[in-house]
Amino acid sequence: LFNPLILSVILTTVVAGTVMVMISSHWLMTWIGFEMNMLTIIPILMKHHNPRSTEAATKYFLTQATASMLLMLAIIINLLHSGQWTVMNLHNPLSSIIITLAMAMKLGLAPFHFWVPEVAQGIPLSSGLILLTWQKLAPLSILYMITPCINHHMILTMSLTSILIGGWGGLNQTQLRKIMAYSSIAHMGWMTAVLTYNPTMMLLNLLIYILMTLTTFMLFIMNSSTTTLMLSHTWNKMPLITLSTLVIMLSLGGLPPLTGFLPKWMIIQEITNNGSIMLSTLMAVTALLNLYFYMRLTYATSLTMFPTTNNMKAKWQLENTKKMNCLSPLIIMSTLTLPLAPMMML
Amino acid sequence: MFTYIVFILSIIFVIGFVGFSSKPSPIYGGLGLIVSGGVGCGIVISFGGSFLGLMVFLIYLGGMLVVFGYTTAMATEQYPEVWTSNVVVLGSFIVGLVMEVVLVITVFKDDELGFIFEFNNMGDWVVYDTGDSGVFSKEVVGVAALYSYGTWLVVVTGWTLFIGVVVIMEVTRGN
Repeated sequence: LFNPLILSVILTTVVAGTVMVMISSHWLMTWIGFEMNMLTIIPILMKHHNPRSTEAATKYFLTQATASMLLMLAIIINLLHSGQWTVMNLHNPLSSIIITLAMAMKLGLAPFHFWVPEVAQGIPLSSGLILLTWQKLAPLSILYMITPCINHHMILTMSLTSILIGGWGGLNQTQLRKIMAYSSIAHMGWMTAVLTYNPTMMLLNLLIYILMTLTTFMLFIMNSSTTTLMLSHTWNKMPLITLSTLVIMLSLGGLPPLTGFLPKWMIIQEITNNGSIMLSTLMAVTALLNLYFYMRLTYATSLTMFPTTNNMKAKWQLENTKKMNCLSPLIIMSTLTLPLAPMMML
Repeated sequence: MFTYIVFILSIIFVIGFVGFSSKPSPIYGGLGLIVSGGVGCGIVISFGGSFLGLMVFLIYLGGMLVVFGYTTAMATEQYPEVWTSNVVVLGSFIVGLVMEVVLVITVFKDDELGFIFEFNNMGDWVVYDTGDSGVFSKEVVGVAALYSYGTWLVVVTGWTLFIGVVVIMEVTRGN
């Protein structure tokens, strides 16, 4: 896959699949877009050919293929009841329920979240980045398009369960990719909770989540660190990255002066304005679980020096070989753009 | 009997699918695919689409399944798992069969089945006549429309098939 011609063809098709899902007006073309996307991300997940990557790619393929099958079933039921293939509101509640379930499987919402940590753990860091950010765009655009006919009870149950599972599941992890997987589950829960109230807030949360996760993964790639222990050696290699990790983790947790607070604030405002006070309280309280394990990462990286052997304390000070052109603007955008909030009163 | 030919063919179709989704060895799965493919072709032909049905036979059964059969024959083990090999495969096959039989009996008794869609007395599935559709039959018009109005679909499916081969070669490269 390191052959540039093949890599560019495969990446183009990944992008083309997602774009086809987003721009199609015929349900069959959306299904084809999902299949194109899934087929061509498999070699990206299997970049290094070892059995662990093969297992992760197989698990991803099985769950996503089942979800595509459910999508096709819902499309046919919709066709049977309305006689047309236009991508707009669905004409049958059963069809809408099945599409919501299929998209929940694709996103990794509870109770279909079991594949996310296992797949994220078995693949290289850059593939994990694509998996957790780009692959969320297509299912969320389908959910955005069918928003008026989503069954409220089902999607709120799934999103609240996802936030709980994303918070509790990430507490016992030391592997960074699994932590980011549980973080993704929780954020998807936040996004789908506000979907039926105000879809624009879902898009806002998606955008800011993608920014923050992109930055976090790029910081991890720069360190080549995949566990908490490896992250705690950063003070010796690149001290500036310890500061960046601190602010990014706090932003992911949703602390106020940073950007990550903006989607949570907007979502809680929208939900409370619609009268579901219990839901917004529960969501806000369980976000604390997420904050705990982000804080643990910052504690290990920037606030303390973990006990290590003496070899680890005196490393060779070599130059960084990973080209990270966009890292500085990304860090700034993921932490300092909260004051732009009045600009987006649309 | 021939009034209900589509219904009978659909039952054999589902039984063929149950046959290979109870997961015997891929060779026997290929046998189930041949049965289902041939019968599905029969269903398409009895609705008047003779061209597309024969396409299924030629390309699917005569091209893709033959290649699949040869590659599976090269990669198979000494004693492949047949439907009666172990309890699991036989059990899942029988469960599928039983569910299909229950469905057929329900349709015959109640004359109406309103599970996901209204299905009364096989009214939709009985082929009375192929219809007076003018000079051209509907499925030939469909094929023509694919290559004129559906150019985008042809481009996308062609690209996806090519990418499928590229992906398979990348995945099975091994280094």
